[in-house]
Amino acid sequence: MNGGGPADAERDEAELLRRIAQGSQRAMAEFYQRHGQVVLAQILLVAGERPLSEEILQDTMLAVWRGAGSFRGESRVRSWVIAIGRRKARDRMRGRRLRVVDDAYLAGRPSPDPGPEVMALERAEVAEVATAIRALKPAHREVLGLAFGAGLSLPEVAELLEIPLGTVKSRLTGARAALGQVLNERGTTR
Amino acid sequence: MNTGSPHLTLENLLAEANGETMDDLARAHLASCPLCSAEARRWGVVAAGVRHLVTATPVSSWRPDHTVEARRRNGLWPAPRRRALAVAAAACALAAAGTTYGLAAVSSGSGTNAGGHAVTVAAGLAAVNGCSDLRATLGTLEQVKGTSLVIRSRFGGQLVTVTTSASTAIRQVETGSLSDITDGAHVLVSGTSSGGGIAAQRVSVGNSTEQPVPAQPPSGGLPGGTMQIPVTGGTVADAHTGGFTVVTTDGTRIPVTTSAATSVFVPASVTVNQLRAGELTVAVGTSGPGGTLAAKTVEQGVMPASGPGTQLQFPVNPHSGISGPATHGCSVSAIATAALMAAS
Repeated sequence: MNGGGPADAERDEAELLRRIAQGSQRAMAEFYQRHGQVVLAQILLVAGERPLSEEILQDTMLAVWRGAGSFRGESRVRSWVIAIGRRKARDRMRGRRLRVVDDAYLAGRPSPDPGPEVMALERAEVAEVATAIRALKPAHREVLGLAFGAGLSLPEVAELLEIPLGTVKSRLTGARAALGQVLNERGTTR
Repeated sequence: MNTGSPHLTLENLLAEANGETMDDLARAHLASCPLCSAEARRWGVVAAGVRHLVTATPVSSWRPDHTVEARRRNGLWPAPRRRALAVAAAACALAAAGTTYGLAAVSSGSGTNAGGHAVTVAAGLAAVNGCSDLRATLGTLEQVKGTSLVIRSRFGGQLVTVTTSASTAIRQVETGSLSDITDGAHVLVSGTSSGGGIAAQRVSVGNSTEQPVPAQPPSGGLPGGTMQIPVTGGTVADAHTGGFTVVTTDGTRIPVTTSAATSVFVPASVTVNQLRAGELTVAVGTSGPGGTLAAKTVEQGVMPASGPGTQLQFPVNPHSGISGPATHGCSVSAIATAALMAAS
């Protein structure tokens, strides 16, 4: 996976943040338009509840509004705002006793052979895959969202999740295996 | 390629799934390796499922007020910050009832003002109906030159030089929250009629030390037509969740309802150097030499309405103009704020 986007696009994003830091509501509205949907989808993958996710998104964007000047360009803007969203989600969900699951468990049982789970994945319709993703564990949903929804590179995912790159890879592989298992248990239409 | 294996790395496979470019070697391998091709296809299915989730996630507009309210409901929001509110809106409560003001926009020319007096206005400026001495311009701030501003006026697109002095009040609009609307605060409200009151779309809140300057009774016409600014104002009473009452200077009580769709704004004092080029800016003052405007007040910012409803219309045709409600008089800050409300 290729790391950051085109340099011009990143400069444009940084400029947008600079204008937000100066108090431009128009720039904030544009930022929201560019990132709101992806950030909300990512939060929803983690939080699982739409109303709560909406509130976390608003918290996130308020933090951007107030803290745009703190962006140092050390990461892509997309990665930066998702990291803020992740922290906000963690704050909001702290009291909910999030179950910690170790990566050995999350890794599932990847097999080199195309077992029924892999076959189920290959047969599945896109909408079925999307529905099945919702049934995965939050950590699996989150890593899939970062890699495919937010379009972050694996090193960016590792930095954001504060885990080693190898763990990101095993978590992704585990997420795919778990997804195949869910699809296999539910059956597919093709 | 994976240096320890004849097959593609996970990075390569995810790049393929995300539609990103791979190097030629990896692409050639993918084309010839059925195992890698199958893996890339499976990751592609996963990627498509995630993207489907993203695109199927409708996102509402940014609602800072909603956030504040949500936090307050959950007990997560600290006591509202009490800012020093340098506010334009206060003057709205000070004007004599039964009078009107307005901005009559003209490219240049003359006419008769609301008091029946001859009015001459320079290009890019507007006369203020009921306030014979006042002129105004509204448009995009192009440049700040020392203490002067260059505004590209919406009244015909001309560049207007606006001079400021130490006595010029300069403000920028900040987003506030419903908690800023408290008893005794001065407000300007725009919205839609609702059950004898107003369903507020925008509320500008704050205090002003500006003295009341009654407008002259309307009569006669200005150069060009006029259009009502659906903005009213006064002092807040009976503030409660879901609304408040505006008490105008003549004692009229107007019930106002607020909702999650109500946007609240608080103009805050800034220096001339803090004004931002490219932003919507309004200046109200008196005619200066050479077609300039000697500003008494400058306000900058947009006041978007969050929810559905009637959008205010600000004329861009130089031969039309706007007239305000009876509550404002010739208070320049109220005129400026109301103009920003109408133009946003």
